[in-house]
Amino acid sequence: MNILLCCNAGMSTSLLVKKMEQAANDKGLEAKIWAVSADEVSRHIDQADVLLLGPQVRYKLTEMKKEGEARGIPVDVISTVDYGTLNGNNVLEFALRLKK
Amino acid sequence: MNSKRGDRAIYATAGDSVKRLDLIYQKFLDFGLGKKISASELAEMLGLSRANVSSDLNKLWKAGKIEKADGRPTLFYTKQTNETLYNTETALDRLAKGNKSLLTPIEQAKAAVLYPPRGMHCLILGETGVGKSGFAGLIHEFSIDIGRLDKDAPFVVFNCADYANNPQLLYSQLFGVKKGAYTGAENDRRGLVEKADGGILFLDEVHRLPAEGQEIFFTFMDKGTFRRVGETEVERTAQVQIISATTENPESSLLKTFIRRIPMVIKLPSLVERGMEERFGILINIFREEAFRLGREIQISASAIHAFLSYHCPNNIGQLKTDIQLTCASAYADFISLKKKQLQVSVQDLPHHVKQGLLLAKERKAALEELVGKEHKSFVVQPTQDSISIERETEDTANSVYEKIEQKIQELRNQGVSEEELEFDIENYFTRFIKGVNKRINKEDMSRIIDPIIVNLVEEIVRYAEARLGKILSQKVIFGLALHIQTSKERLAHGKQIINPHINSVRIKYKKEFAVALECVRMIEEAILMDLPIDEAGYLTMFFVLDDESLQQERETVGVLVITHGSGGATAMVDVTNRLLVTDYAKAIDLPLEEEYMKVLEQAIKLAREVGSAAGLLLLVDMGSLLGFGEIIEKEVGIPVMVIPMVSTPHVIEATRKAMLGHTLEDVYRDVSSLSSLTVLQNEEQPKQEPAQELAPALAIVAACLSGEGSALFLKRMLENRLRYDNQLVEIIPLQLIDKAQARNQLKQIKNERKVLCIVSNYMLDKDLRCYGMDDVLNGEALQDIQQMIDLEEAFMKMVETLGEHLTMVDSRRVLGDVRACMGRMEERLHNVLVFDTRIGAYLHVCCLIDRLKAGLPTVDYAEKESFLAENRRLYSIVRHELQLIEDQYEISIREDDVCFIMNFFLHNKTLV
Repeated sequence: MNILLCCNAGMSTSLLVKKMEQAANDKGLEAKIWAVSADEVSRHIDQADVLLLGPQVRYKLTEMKKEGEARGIPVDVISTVDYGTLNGNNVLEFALRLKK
Repeated sequence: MNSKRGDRAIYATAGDSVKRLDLIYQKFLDFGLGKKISASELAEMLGLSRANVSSDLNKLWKAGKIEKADGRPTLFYTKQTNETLYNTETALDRLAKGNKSLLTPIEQAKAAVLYPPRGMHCLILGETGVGKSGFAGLIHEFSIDIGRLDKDAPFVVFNCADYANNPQLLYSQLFGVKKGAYTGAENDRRGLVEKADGGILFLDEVHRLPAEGQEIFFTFMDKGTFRRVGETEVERTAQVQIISATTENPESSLLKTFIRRIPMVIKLPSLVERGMEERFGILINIFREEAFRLGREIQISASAIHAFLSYHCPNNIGQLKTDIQLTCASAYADFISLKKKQLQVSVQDLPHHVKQGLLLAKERKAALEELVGKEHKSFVVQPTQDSISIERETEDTANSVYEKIEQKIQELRNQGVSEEELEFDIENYFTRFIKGVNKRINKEDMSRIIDPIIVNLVEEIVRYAEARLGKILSQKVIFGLALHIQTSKERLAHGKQIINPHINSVRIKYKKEFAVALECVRMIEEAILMDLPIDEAGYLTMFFVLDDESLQQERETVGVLVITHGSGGATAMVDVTNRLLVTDYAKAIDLPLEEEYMKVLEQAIKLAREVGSAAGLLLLVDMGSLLGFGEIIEKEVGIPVMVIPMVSTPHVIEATRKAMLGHTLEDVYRDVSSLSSLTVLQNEEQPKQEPAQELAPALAIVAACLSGEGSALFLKRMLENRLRYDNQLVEIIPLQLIDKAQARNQLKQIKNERKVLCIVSNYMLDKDLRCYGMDDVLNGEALQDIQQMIDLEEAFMKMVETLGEHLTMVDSRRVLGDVRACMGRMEERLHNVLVFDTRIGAYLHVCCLIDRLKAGLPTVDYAEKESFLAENRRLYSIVRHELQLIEDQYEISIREDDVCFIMNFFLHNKTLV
């Protein structure tokens, strides 16, 4: 399971990545989770199973969805509250639901 | 008595001589430049004796006023042009202006100075603080002004009291010491008498001059000769004019000898003897000195002036001066601490004993007003200007009017006008008037009660106000206004005050209405030929304002619905009630026994929607099965409902009457139930005693209702039902608004303990807090906003926790707070309020950025930075600028690339894709 996170400059998302990794670990889930800035998404998207956007780059959703659809990768925005509270577990579950 | 008469004689001659001198000199000035005249010619011309004229001419010549030509008979001429006697106005002349009571002392002083050959010693009598030393100083100045003394002639001051216990030292101070005169006298030393040679020696508190040595002094005064202490052979001389001063009664034995030796006794009047007009001038002068000292203009309220003019001031000008200085210091403190925008002196700044002057001021109000001027509300003393400018109340400078209003309230308070007298809490007052009028009195009744003049006046006011405010006043406001004006008129006619304690807040809150009200006050004054206090404008303002609010309140009265079994029972009771109260307020449902329960309930709900309001519904029923209706209606309609069982006609009447007057549901319920001896249902609206929480939630939403705790509770419940929140973090607090001041205090306390997210209320309680109208909440419009605020705050609180686990270099709470403040400033300057999603992201982003930079970790480069910056220059400069503080606080340096990412939050600040 490869989860790509996209945010503004990868600044805060890296924290969320850590939290999600922890959550995955607890679940005994094998997952690669990493964060990149919006500009870099095109270079990483092919390795991802799911693409999640930080709420602050919600404006990129249409653009990213196109890219995702072309490759059959689900794309969505992380819930603001989960993001703000760095709720790794919720975001991980969200990613898992998207994938299904 | 003899000596007294003698003094007067001397004074008279001396005074005459001064006048003669003036006359002669004036003649010269009239002649103009160069005209030469002899003493005898002049004496003949003026009808004076040649000897006198000759002596005066010599005096004038000595004073350098006129010139002498060589030859016989001596001819005199002037080089002066036609000015006053002494080419500039002398110090004493300046004092004479506006100080009529000092004319005699001034004339005496002039005479004493001009008395040949070297002036006359004089004694100044007067109470403590009347200005004896100052007067002596002026005599010295005068002597220089007229050329009687050299420009640098000494003025030596000696206070006899300083050495009263040591005559030896006193004399050595005055006359000097010969070397070796006594142990410690190691050098020859000059005394003050020698130092004063060619000038004036001022001996203050001369009655303290020890009796045993007075003779030495008298010798010096008579002959101008003296010896230093220890000297025997040499007799020294000094030309000194001695001015002595004392507070003692001149009849006292000590002074009797003294007065015999001193021909000129000048008595300075006490402050009381000076009279009000002079006192006014004196105190303004002192204020001016203070203004000069502070380098700013001082504004003094008329009441403060009244107090200063009236208070008991036993130590005269000296005390007045001290008191004014104290007052200015207090006002200055307020000014410096930014409590006041200007250096203003009003009654509350005055020392207590000065304030008491206002009690005396009442007794001589007319005199004070004549002096100070009725229309002058305050006086402005400039630090530079010689004359004081009087600030007049003008129609268009509304601001100064407001300040005066404020001051007036304060001053009235300080005058001891009790809070009872400052009667009428404005809200209660208005609720009473407006609500009552509409419901109880119909138009015909009105014209019977109200004076036709006032009815016409009110029509005029309404026309004017409607035009200016661009709205239509409701009929009931018009009646309320009429009733109010009538009452005010009666109160004034009975000499009662009309005071509006809220006038200041009223005028701030409702600027436009207040301006209109001021004009209306003028109209009323013209119509009823009475002066109205400005407070009246505050009340009128409320009439104009409350019209809108009152409409809402009308809807907010408690509905009354009667349901009984049996055909016509309820209707009969309601009909009686409505007929008696001339209304159709109460509603009825008859419940025929055969009627289906559900059908009745449907009907009841439908009716409840019509007659009920946010204030609630009072249900009056006759039998048990209907008791359950209350709960169902409450749920269905969403308004609080209370049920009175075992209804009777008196219940219905009482309920309807109370409800119409705007009583709260609880009040109506309580009053109606107390009518009946039967037990009533448990009060459903009682707030359940919540178990004391160990830690109150940090966030609060305040729900405030005017109509009482019940509706606030209702509002609280509704918010609780419709908002999602974590009750560990957020609490909704009901607040009763009956007493606004109390409500404000409660709110303040809540604010101290926790963060208040917003207020739900129809009244602006706190302008710093976001306030949602009840309507907006009830119809759901505001709920989304409030929800978002809660979400944000909750996220924010949780962010602190989560960030705390991750940030390595900085404290999460602190950094989040700083970032929040920083972003807030950006939002404000950019007029771009971040939407919720963006905001959370932005906070996190910047917090992490700070942590990262602090740790010395690299940050991401921004692609196409240059073109991005070129496109968004203004945004960049604002964001950069606001980040400066963060950089300073955390000692980090934020790169341009980092700034670009932050700018993006503002550029893409949208909720939806």
